[in-house]
Amino acid sequence: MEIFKFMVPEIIFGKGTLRLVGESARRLGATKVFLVSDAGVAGAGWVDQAVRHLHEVGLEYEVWTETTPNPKDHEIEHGRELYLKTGCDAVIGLGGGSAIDAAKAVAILVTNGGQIDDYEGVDKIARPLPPLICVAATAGAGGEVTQFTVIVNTQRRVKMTIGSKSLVPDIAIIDPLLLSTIDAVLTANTGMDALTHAIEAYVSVAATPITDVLALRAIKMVSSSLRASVASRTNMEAKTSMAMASLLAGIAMSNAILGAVHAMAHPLGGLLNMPHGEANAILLPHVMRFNLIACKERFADIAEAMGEQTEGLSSREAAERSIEAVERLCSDIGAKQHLAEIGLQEEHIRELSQAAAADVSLITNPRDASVEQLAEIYRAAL
Amino acid sequence: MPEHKTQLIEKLTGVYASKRSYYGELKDKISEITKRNSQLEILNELARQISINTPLDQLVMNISDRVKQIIPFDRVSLCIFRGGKLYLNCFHPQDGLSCTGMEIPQDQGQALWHVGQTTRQLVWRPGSGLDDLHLQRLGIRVAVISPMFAQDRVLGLFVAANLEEINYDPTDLAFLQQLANQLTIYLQDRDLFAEVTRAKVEWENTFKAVKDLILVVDRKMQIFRVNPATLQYSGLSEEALMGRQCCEVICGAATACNDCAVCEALQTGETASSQHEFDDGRVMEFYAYPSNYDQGEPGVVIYVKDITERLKMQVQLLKTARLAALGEMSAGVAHELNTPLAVILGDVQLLLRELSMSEEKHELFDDIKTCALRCKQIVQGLLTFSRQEQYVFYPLSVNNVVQEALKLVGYQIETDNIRILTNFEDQVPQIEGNAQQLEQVLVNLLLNAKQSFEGTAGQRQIGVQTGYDQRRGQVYIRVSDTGQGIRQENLAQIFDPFFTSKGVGKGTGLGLSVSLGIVQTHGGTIGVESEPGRGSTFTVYLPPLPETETESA
Ligand SMILES: [Fe+2]
Repeated sequence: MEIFKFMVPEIIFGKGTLRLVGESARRLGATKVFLVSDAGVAGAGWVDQAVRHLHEVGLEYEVWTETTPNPKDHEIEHGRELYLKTGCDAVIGLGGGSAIDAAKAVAILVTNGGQIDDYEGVDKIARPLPPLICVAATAGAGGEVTQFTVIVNTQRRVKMTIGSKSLVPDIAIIDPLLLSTIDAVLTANTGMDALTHAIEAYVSVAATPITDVLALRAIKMVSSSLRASVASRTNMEAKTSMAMASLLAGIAMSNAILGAVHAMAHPLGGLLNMPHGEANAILLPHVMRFNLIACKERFADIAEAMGEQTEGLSSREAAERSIEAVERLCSDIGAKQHLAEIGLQEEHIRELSQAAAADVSLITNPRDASVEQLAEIYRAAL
Repeated sequence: MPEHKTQLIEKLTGVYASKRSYYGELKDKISEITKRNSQLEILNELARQISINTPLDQLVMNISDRVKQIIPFDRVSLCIFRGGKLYLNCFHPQDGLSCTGMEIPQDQGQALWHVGQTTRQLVWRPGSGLDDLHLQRLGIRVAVISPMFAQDRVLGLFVAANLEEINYDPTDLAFLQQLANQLTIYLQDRDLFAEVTRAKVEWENTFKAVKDLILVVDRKMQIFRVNPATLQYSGLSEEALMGRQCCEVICGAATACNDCAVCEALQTGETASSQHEFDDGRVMEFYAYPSNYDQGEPGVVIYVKDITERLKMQVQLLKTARLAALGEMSAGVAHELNTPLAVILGDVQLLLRELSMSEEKHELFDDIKTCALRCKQIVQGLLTFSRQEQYVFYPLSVNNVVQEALKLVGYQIETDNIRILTNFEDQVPQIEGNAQQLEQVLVNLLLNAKQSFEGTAGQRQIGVQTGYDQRRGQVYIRVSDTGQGIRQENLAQIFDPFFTSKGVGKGTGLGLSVSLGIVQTHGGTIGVESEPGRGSTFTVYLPPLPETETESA
């Protein structure tokens, strides 16, 4: 890519930076904040804490925690109504992928109007969003820095990817302390999501030297810290490292875009409400195997970044080491190995493959994939 | 890589997709608001100009200049439908092809007519399906044609046109339509305004033209509207009259008269009329028409007519009729008397000739003769009065007539110790008449004047004056005395036959009526003014000869 654009929000990183949420919102001109979160994050007490910080700087707020994993279009509709009814003028997303995606979607509707389906696709947003701050409560989803949001169309039972530079938040806050209340399973799933972002960005046809640096660094950090982070809730060093890895992977993925793993994971979320990270973890090695021939050297780089010994190996062999490394990591952290375990059946594959073929994420996949090829991968991962 | 894929990647990672900026949005909003403000200003201005009655072409020019600042266009025009035809009413700027009032036939202006029929705004471009030669000839590339729709019909079209290809956005189009709507109101209001003004002027002129007094008063009889005749009558300015009582202004009375028509109209709500005779002899007729009686703020329109002259004329007419009857009767009697009188006179003269003066009977016959002659004189007078006699008319000067008359009776008057002062206008126009008859009139007037000094002391003077009265356009002979004058109650009767204020036997009572008869045969009249104790003035007015004859004479 000779000419490209690279975009990141203002980033605030570090332990305890959640307290800056109020001041950040004020700085953007907010007077009444629409705080989008979910039940899990609220249960852990983070919503209360955020509210306290808003209160400290004299901001009014409306808390909305109706979002569910894989946020649905009708939920967004409620969010919009509440935002407009209560007269808010800024949006804060506090949570993992779902809460942040929901926050972005509500932000689209309140200034652009219409239905969320209207914005499915790329660069469909015509008017600026209200001031948007995203606070990451997991290490993986990356929504706090990306130009994407993914919303389930409940009628079509598909995940709609919406991509627009306007969706890049104004401020991203990454506070590793928030990771300390997450259980091992979610830590593992979100960690694998981050790894998938980094790997897909690195092999993406839209990768740039900037995203390469970020992606490789993210891969390296996930490989070295995810196991420890899954293992202990209180290992702040591992948590901080995973928070940074997720951030770097998110930036890389937002600018270099994704690939077949996400293209295939999105229909699983839409059709079977499958957790995003789990689906990614199962699909990742299979897609890597499929993509291998497109860019062996890149996969070799990944193997190296994951700590594999590749000296003296052919590029093919070195590339294959990356798949082994991913599979070993999955196994170590107890990630599921088969889609059947999370409810996929052969009869779904046809519909899933068609949806995956139409997903925006697929366009930057290094190897062109037909519906049949995608079906084959699903079957392999079953 | 498939085309759409490349495009999607370009949008995701390329340089042309950007985060939407609030600054840009703000600027757009501000410029939009500024534009809206300008639009509102223009509409306001338009609304204001309606009330100050700007000419339409001036208005369209103003609009054009103002609207150009916010919506680009090169030309604006206004077309009006009238009697099933479309006319170009005004346009701006001049183009050398159009002229005000030119007709645009349907086959020439298809687009324009189309909007007139559909009543929907149209953005026309050449080759858009509707051939509009009128617009094409002007080199127009884009024309926004907005209908001027009122009630159930299209009054006209407001056209904003561009010589370059341009896209108007929907708010611009909406505004141009608003402008057209506003112009529609302007046009309707203007027509209405002109109609009302015309009607008002008409009424005002009517009000002014009436020479009688018209006043409008409120329920307290206070004046709030008058016509110029009333101003003239009262001698006051309009400001001074406002709020004054009509009784005070018209009748000079402090309170309303008993039978005042205005009071009656106010009380009954019905039209009323009354007649009032003022101390100075004028008679006024009042008509009072209640107005606004139902609307709770009653007033009265008062029409006042001075009928003094008319009444006088009526009296004169009656008198004339009476005199005519009298004249006819007199003539009959005179004829009947003429023959026996001639016999008496002839016989008595025969008898007198046969009698000697010494005889006792001679005196008796002489008396008979004197009385018979006197009777003959009376009969002669009666015949003259009833115009039974014919006289020849010819051009003459009244000065000669007066001089002849003075020759006859001047001496007689002067010996009675009365001074005669004459004042003849040399250039007095000639009249056409009979000198003997007019001399008779003059002698009569002079003798009357002489008699007016009987039983009076003080200045004894008779003035005789001739001249030309410019105002009446008549020649006059004025005989004035400083004698006893005529009592007011007698003044009306002095021209009646047999009326006399002199003692019985001193006058025939026919002098003035015969004189008036003569003057009237000459197309003239006799005026009289008199004040008891101070004297009388009789003026004989006679029409002059037509101008040309005067000059040739
Ligand atoms: Fe993801």
